[in-house]
Order: sequence, then C-alpha cells, then structure tokens
Amino acid sequence: MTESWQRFWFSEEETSTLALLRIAFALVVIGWTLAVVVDLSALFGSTGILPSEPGAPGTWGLMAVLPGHAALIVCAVVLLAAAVCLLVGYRTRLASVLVFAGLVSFQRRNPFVFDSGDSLLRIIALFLALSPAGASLSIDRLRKARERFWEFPSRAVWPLRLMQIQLSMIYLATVWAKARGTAWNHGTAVSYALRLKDLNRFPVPHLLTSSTVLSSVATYGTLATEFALAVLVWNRKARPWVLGLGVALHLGIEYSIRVGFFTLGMLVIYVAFVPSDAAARLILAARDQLGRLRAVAAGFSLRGARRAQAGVR
Amino acid sequence: MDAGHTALWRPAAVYIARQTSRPGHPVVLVTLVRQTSMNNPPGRRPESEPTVSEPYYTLRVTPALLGGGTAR
Repeated sequence: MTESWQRFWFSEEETSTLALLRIAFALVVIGWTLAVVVDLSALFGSTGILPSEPGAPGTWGLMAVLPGHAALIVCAVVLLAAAVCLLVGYRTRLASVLVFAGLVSFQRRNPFVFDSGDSLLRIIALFLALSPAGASLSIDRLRKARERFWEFPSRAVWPLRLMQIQLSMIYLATVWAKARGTAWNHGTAVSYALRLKDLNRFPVPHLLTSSTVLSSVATYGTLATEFALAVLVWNRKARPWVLGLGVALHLGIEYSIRVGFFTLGMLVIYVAFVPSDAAARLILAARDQLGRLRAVAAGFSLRGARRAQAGVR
Repeated sequence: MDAGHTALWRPAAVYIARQTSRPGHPVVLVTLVRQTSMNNPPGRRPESEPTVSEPYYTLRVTPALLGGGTAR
C-alpha cells in the first residue's frame, strides 16, 4: 500500500507532458489577458461598473493594495509578459507565480464577471507554479543544458497528479450538484441550456431542444459522460475513450453556448493525462516537421537568391 | 449584468450615465431593467413565454455624478 502511494505520487516521469501543458496553458492565458484588456477600465477601473474591490474574508488581490488606473495597466502588462515567459519557459517558476498572482488579482477585483472557467485557470496556474514546468522545452532548459535540449528530464509526478485529481473532482462535483437539482433528473437540462438566448453561440437542431426523447438522451448522456470522466479516467484502457468523449462534450458545449474560457481550461487540464512518452513523441514530431518546413523555406530563399543573382548578371 | 448583485446597481448606473452622456445632452435618468423569459419544458408549446421587462433600479443623475471620480 505504502509502495503504491509512493509510486502514485513520487515516481519519476519525463517532463514532456508538463511542457505541453505549460505551453497550452500559457497560450490560453495570453488569450484571457487580451480578452480582459479590452474592457480594462469598464470592468476593473475606479470609474467602471465596480469602483472598488468587493473583498471577502480570506481573499487577496494586488489591485486592492495597488489601486489606480496605472496600477491596473501595470498588472495587465505584467500578466501578459509573464504568460509569454511561461510560453517560452523563461524564468518559468517566477513566470508561473506571476501568472497565478495576476489571475487571482483580476478575479478578486471584479468577481462578478468571471465564471468557473476562470477559476479553473487560476487553479492550473497554482499547480504549474508548484511544478518543474520549465524543465523541458524551455529557455530555462536551453540555458541549463543546450546540447540536451530535446531530452525531457524526469521529475516526480505529483504536480501532474494534482491536476489529474482536480479534473476528476470537477466531474464528480458537477455530477453531484446536478443530481441534486430537478432539471437534470427530469432529463430536460440540456434543452433548457440550449435555449438560453443570451448565452447561445451557434444554432443547434431545433429537434434537440423540442423533443423530450432527444433532450433526455442528451441530458442523461451528459451526466453519464461526466461520471465516466470522473471515474474511468483512472483506468488505463478506458482513459483515451472517456477523454475523447470529454473532448467531444466540451467542443459541443463550446459550439452551442458561450462559456468563456471554461472549454479551453478543461482541454488544457486534459493534457495532464497524456502519457509522457506520447507527449515526447508529439513534441519531437513537431520539431521534425518544423525542421522540414525550415529546410523547404531555406530552399526557396536560396533559389530566389540565385535567380536574383542571375538577373543581375 | 447579474441583477441579483445589488451592490453593482448604483455604480453600473453611474457608469452607463457617464458613457452615454454627450456635451449638451447630459443623461438625467438611468433605469436598469430586468428582462426575463421563462422557457417551458421540452415538448410543450409555446417553447417560451413572452419576455417580461421589469425596472428594478432608477438613478437620478446629477451633474456632480457626471463630473468624474468614483461611482460609489
């Protein structure tokens, strides 16, 4: 038992999965920050819809101690810069701590405009700050071991385990919460959700929302998928199937309902379940593909230069 | 905006007044209106009831409010 516990938390694995997760997460945070910047004054400024931070016991945020428009802009710029550093893996630990602090600060400053997807990004940022996220595929790695850049050093797997457990808990909690309501039990929840006009993105077939049978199938199917994701994701053989179902579920939600950054956050945390050898293969394949593209581009520019030379003669 | 958060009503109304006021045409009144439409269960006609508009907060805007500063 103790041995299993030790293996589960502290066995070492290549950090390729963590590198993929870091890059995917950083891209999402860059998008998140740009989305926030558009309405910076209106949502977070002292002359906006919420002039001061509401504050709650046990919470903290940089904008409560650094009020003013200049501080707001500084926070946004620092968050964006930290996200870019996280993307390329430059001073990764510091960058991930800054990203975490930035996300917390914006979300505390005006909690009324955020949802569970934003909370999820905050949680992933914390886990990344605790992890050796810059050990592979990063400028940190390049500075440390240039000649072994394309190797993925092994580290204790516990930060990934925390993210995997988080994913499992999200689905368990959602199934529990839904099972206690009425719409999910009556098989009508999906029909209602798809008819919330202010949240609709793209239209779905009318039959899905008007038919009691199809609505029930979609509602109970969603519950079953979420429960399977919570439980069967721990089974090696079932994992790819349930994760595939989960991806389809979230893309379906993203297509039909505007759920902010929830889908992207969930897809990022799915990466925690990608085996390290598969992640390494994917990264190396991308490197090779990039190398081929570079060679083709170099060939083009060489031919262009020769033609130009011939033209001069 | 979520109409349930009463603390947001006044600053939101002040923000709207400042955003929509133009020189010579100051906003003098802002009313926040809650619009709801009940969706019926699938299979029932009509699919949803007509939209109901219900004013829930009114702010008389003074020149001092439009002058700037915080909306507290």
